[in-house]
Amino acid sequence: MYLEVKDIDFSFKDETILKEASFSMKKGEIVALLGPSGSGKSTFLRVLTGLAHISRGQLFIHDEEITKLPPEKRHIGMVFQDYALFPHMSVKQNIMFGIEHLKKDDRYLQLHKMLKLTNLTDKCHKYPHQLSGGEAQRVALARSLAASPDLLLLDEPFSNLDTELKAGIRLELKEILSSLDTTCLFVTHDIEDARAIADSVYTIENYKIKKIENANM
Amino acid sequence: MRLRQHLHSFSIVSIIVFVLVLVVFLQLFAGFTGEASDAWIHIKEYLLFDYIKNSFFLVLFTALFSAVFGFVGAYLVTFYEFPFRKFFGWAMILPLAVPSYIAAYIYGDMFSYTGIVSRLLRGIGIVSQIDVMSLFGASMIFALTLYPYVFMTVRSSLNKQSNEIYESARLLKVSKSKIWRKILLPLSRPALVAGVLLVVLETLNDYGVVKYFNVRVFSFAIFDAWFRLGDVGAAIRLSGVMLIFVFVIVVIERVLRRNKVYYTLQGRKRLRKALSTKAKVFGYMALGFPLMFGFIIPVIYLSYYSLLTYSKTLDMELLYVTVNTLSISVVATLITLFIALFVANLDRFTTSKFFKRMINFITLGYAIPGAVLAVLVSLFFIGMDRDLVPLYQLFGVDKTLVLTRSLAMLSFAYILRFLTLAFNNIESTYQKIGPSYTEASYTLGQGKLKTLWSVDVPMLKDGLIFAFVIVFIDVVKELPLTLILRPTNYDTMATKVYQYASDEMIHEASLPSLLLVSVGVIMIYLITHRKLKKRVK
Repeated sequence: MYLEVKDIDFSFKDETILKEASFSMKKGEIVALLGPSGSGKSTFLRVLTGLAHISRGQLFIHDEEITKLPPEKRHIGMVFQDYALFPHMSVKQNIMFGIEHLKKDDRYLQLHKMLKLTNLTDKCHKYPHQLSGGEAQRVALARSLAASPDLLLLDEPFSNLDTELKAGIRLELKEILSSLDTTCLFVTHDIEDARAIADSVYTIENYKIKKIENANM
Repeated sequence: MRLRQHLHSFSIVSIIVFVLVLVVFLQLFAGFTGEASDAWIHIKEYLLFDYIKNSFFLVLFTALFSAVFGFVGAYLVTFYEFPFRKFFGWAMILPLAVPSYIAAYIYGDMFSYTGIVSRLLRGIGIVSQIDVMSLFGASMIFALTLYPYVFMTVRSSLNKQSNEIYESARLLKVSKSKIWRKILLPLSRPALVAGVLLVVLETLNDYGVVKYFNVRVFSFAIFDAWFRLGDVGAAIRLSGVMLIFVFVIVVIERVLRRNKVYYTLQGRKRLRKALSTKAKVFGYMALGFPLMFGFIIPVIYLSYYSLLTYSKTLDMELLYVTVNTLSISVVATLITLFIALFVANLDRFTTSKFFKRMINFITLGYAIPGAVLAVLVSLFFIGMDRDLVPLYQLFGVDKTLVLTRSLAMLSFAYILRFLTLAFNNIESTYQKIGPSYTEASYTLGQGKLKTLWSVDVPMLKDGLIFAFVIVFIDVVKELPLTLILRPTNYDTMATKVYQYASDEMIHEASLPSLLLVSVGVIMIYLITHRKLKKRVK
């Protein structure tokens, strides 16, 4: 398995969110984590990134344990629900932020690749407040993908988009993720989002992560 | 491994500061261990009750007056439309630029037998003199110069309250007085109490006013025990009692505020009501009185006497004093902000109860009156110098007191005292921004310092500028700490003004006072107009 989550416990302010929860994903797989607000879906993403600390259990990517690594060393990208685009940076600066360690040529190569992939080439010098909801989402995606993460997490990626825009963006997202063979886990409360993109669908029930069989029917 | 997760640049800086603060505070307990001196026994038996009583009434009257000035002003500029409303919106903050001790010297002089007010009164046949140099007068001086703290916190809270709450109350045919009692005051109580607490802490911190007016409160007593009686032990014991007094006030504030912040973001732009002609007269009086006595009259007085005395006081020494003041204030403020930034970052993301308590302790400084802090910092540095003598000898330094009464010691005390102000401002800006930008940077592989520099600092810019100005103004004005801890023959504007006043040269104090007030006014103008400009954009 590519991502392995083994028997993790997580509580927040004395409230149990996950208990002896396990979960796994294959390389290149797109998984949706479905459930109502407050069920702990986003918290699970934070646990994977290292932004929230588990009290028990282990996390592995590619058989390498990442449980105790800080977020910046896990190579896990995340697109936040509000996109968290840095407002003082242009689209270009946002995308290049996570790849500053690369050589200049490689950095620009990656930038252009991402701009092309997300169809943002003409928005390169715009600032976040000058973008539409769909464009902002694509910038957030491009920024995360530019760093070539081992795993990409998306927190309610469509919650800020209207219904019409949503359908198109879902397709775009699916194409982008497939073209890069990205392993992706995304959180949603909408079964349609899950059906449109995911290879398999999971939910959190009784503090455990459970697969929903036949979700794509 | 778990320990390693908690150890990073933010926590390491915070731990170092915590240890230093802890060691400084331990001086207080060390001071209690020795045998009580005769001076302390005398103070305890004959004077302590008066100190407590005077401090209590000074704090009570100041709190009441400043609450009225600040609350009514904030209410008027938030809810009503009238000519010059915008002007009053920022001008009401200006008295913050006038240090209380300077206002005390001015009104002490104006109301003295030969002062302008007494002469005018005698001119119209009123022979009796108004005694401002009293406890009541001191509390009025504090209220007039410190009420902007209440004005700012209450106005900010009122601005965040939903307009619809008041509109729905009016539609329910609730009377105006009931809206005040049942909605406005309860909703504004946390902000009002927080603002009043700042006023109270500043009042207890003061030494200049109470010394000049001879009001025997704690800070007066500590200075008296230390410098007149030469009894450090008694000064420490008085500091201990004063801290209990402050602690009781802070507990009362917590109970009154109940750690609540009530506000709902307003959905629509607030529609301000026009004031009737009668109400306008009251409004202008309510806004004009504190502004007139807290700022305009002091500035006119200082300008007038600066013109009369500048030939005596405008010299190279004043230039040195100005450079001293600005340079130490800039350095101390920048270091304070830097530390506050690290501590606030630890506070944002830590889940450790130990770190949370540690941060609460580190940011106690503002509640500790300057006189007490000066005693503790002095003892700490004297002890450190004593321990470092072998090291000094190694480098061929003959002196035993190297760090004591140095600029390092003075800056250290400033940082300890004003860290709370910087921390609170940075923390509240962080709360507005939210954690997701920082977290996004971490998930993009950037470390803590890179994220702080590239993401947090640019986004915190306004909060940092505001924090800088607030701390800078306070450092420039700070008297008790500077007076006790400054190096020999080192003066700042505040100590220079104090020196003139002590030598009964009130008019000669005008020019340095005016400079000091000008620094504050420029800073206040910059932040208030920066805010206004942003709002217009």
